Amino acid sequence: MFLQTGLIGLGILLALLVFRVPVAVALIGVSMGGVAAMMGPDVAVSMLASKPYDFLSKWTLSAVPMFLLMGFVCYHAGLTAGLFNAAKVAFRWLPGGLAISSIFASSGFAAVSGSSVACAAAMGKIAIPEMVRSGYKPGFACGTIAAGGTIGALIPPSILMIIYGTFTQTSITDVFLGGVVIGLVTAFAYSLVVMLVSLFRPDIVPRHEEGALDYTVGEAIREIWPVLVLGVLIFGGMFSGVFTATEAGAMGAAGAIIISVALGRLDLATFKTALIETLSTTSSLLIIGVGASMFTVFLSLSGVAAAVGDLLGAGSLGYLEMMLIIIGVYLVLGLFMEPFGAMLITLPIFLPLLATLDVSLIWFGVLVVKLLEIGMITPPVGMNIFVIRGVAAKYASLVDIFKGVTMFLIADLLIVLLMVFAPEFVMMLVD
Amino acid sequence: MNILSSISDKLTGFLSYLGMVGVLAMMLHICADVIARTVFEVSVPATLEMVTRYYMLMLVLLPLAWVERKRFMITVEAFSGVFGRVGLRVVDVLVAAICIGVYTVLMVSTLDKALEQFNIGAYIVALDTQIIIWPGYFALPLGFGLAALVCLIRIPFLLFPQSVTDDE
Repeated sequence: MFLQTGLIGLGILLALLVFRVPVAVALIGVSMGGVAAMMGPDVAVSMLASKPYDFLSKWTLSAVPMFLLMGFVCYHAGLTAGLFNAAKVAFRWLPGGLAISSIFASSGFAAVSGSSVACAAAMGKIAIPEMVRSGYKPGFACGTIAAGGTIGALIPPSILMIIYGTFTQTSITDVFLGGVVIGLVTAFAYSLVVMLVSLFRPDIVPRHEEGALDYTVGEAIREIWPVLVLGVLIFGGMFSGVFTATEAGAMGAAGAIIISVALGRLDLATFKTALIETLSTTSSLLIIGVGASMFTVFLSLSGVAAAVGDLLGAGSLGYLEMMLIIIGVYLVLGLFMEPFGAMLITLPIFLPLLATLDVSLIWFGVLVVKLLEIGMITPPVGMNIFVIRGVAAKYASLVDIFKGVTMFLIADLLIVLLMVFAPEFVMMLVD
Repeated sequence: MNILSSISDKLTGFLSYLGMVGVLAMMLHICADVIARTVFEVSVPATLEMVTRYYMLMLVLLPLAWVERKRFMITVEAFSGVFGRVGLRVVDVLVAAICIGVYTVLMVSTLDKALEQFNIGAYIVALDTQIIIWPGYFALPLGFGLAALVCLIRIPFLLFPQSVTDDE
């Protein structure tokens, strides 16, 4: 009998999102209004008033601000600035070597930052001008960096994965391990794309870089040792079981601050900027989580999740059919929504459906993050594309950049197929 | 209106500074616990409780009004182009009104909860230490209430952009 209210609530939620109501406010408003319509205002308040406190007072969630702080300190103090030069030492000799270097530099940046956008912005400023000077077609150079940025949310620490793990009560360390596998596979697949383009279209990607490398291995290591030290500290601690994700984030943030101060790269203004960005990102993300926790109550009371299950023939639909639907939903949502909102709105609907399929929630978390990251480079609202356009406006138009990511999108879809058909591959590092 | 706006700016700024203190305090507390546990095999008391009952609430809710004032809240921007300039301003006023409603309901309901916890003197016991937790509950009505105020102050700026001086 509440199903109609639930469906009306879903419709109102979509309308509110279209009308630019903040995702968190839309989720909270619809949940409050919906539960009040079904049970009365007093019940709604008593059921939902404790949700913000309950959601925010979760230990696992506290990893979010810690890893954000580490990433912002590293970025603003310039600890990641040498990654591109260091990657060049290793990969410049390959066809399309500069582009491949930028992809692996993005992977390195990802190891100290959980944000795809930050990754694209940081690499874009450094790598695009050099690639264009070396004869790369600007649209492809920009597309490479935009796509490379998506690795930022796959290789741990990933903020999306922490929030997923908290929401689904899944081990964040295990989701991280799955993310390492798919992040590296993505980096290798993107590199293969670059090499193939270089082979067949040298007018887009030169086969050989001009001039000699004016950079030695020693200089490369001197530039990136802070990132290496932080990587060993947080991954070593976390994957050996010494630290929880939160503790790894706190140690990483403290390490980044100490190293930056010791190198004279962190003044008060830079530190304040890093703190402000940590706070604004944490607050704007986690308040969506509060909304999603209320929305879950609304959906389960109204029976919408069960009805969607019935509609999709849960139980009768096989694994592949269900995956096709879920992948389709995330790819379409990714066209219009930023990843956190899209993930937290859909998880309350999809999680009950997954129970009938007996799939691993760790594997599903990595798949969801991969799908959402594809949305970061698809039109019309590919955030990474806009960020690259912002830092490299003089090199390429938005249309050129969207064209530049096409080949990487094909690689991404092939990786998604690999994840669907060989889930054990994603789980190879997980016990 | 400008005086009210100035007061809310100062208040949101002050609370976001408190949030910064919360981030740093949380980092130091957790690091101290990890180091003490690894080196001396003892834990810093109440680390988990302080993180979950104080720091997280501080750093998510105290800066909320500041995030709202800076328009950093995450929205779906894909359809912004269809409204036109005037339409967008009308939509922004409606959005602000909806936000006021939602934040106010949250403020009132979480204030009730905070007062209830205050009245019973809510605490938890960790490692034989009694830790008072009721103050953390007040971060919620404070954050939501101030966010509502910021949205309320935004409306005249949206309706009469020429006659109201925006200090930003």
